Amino acid sequence: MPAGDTTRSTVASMNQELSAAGGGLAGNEDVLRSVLAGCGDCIKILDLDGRLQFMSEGGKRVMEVEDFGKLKGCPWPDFWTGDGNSDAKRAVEMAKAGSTGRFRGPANTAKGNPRYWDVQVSPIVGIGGKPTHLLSISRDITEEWRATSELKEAAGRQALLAGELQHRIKNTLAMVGAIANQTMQGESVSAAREAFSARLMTLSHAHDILTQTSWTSAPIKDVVEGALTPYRSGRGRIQVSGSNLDLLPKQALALSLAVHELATNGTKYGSLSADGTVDIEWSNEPTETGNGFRFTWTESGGPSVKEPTRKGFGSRLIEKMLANDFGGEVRTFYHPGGVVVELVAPMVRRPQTQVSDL
Amino acid sequence: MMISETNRRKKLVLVVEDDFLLRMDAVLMIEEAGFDVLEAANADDAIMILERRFDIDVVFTDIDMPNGSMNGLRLAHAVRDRWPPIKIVTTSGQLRLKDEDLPHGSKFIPKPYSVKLVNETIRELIQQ
Repeated sequence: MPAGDTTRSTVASMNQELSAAGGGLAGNEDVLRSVLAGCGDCIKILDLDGRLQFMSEGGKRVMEVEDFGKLKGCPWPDFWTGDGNSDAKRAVEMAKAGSTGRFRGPANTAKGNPRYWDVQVSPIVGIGGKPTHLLSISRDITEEWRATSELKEAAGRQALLAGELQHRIKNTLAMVGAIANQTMQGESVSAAREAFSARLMTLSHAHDILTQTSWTSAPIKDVVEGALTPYRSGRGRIQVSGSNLDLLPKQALALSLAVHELATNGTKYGSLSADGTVDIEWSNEPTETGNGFRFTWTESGGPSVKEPTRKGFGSRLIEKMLANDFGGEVRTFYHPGGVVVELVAPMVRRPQTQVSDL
Repeated sequence: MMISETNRRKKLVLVVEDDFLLRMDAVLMIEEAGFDVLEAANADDAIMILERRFDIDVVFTDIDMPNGSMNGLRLAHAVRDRWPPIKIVTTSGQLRLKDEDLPHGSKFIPKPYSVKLVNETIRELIQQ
């Protein structure tokens, strides 16, 4: 059946249905007018060259058109830019050839407000079965489109976060593996187990602090206090003083492990094994040598100490890892009154905000 | 009895790893496996060492080293180009590479690795 015949038989059945719905509806032009005014879609009639001839009342509303006279006769595809322009031209060609062209794309209203549209262009078939005009219906799907693109963005962010998390987990696993390997060397099983658990707890606490800043930095006080927590309740007194500074993640991990090892040694053999004290101090002032950051661990009032003959993993964490991750030097002095450990390194960052100083 | 030159000394492995803790662990692990070890904290330092020493048998390198002019993969290619006899072991916690992705005479092992795997991988490469 030719396209024109289809349209005529559709009209006939529509009139039948309208008559059945109520008297005076079939063939009533007011019905058409109400539809065109009430419909929230932008309904347009174009000529076969795609020039704008008519726009519905509802369409002028959603397109924010105040004076249609200015638009009449303009090529409709030119209201679209980029891909939308070629999509609109293609849709016009398809409708001219007797089928329906569809596309989705962005276009501004007459007042320049951005909207996203779902568009279909179909032929208006006249007597003889040939298209005489084209019908273009654009539906505003801005809300839906926004929601979809926000979802896509959220999914992208989620994937990025998952990747970052995966990266961090792998790094942490590698670190735990190294600590496990090194802790299990030459110690009895029960001693190794205890040392390993304590080191893991220290690492875990440093992670907690870093998580609060999304792994950008860690306040030095929190790092030191976190590592000291298990040793606060024992004999001896620990005093901590120093200005507020932000450590890099690497520095935070190294310092917490080092402080943990120092406190363990102090509790086993040093001033914390008796009623002695530990003074932890740091400062961060410009110096001529460039090593403006100074961190000291000073034990006093404990049993006399001697330099150990064999240095294990704990000593390496204190002397090597700390020096490496701060880019500085660590020196240990075995004074008769107690151990003194000193780190000198390039200055570390001051915190961005001073709120917590108050 | 004559002992050949190659058997008389321990094989020398250059460990390249930017993370201090992991480097220390790798160095001690490879020493434990019976090798002599040198270490470098990045690819640039590794190249400097390779330019000065002529006795390195194996380069053992991490791949993910963001700080420096090249990562471990580029280092592996540089070593293959400039020092063809040196064997290469690459490792990564993030990537999973196949030996085919690497220059000839190289092997990939994933992190974390065991002493046994490191030992076997290095020995297998040396015997090739």
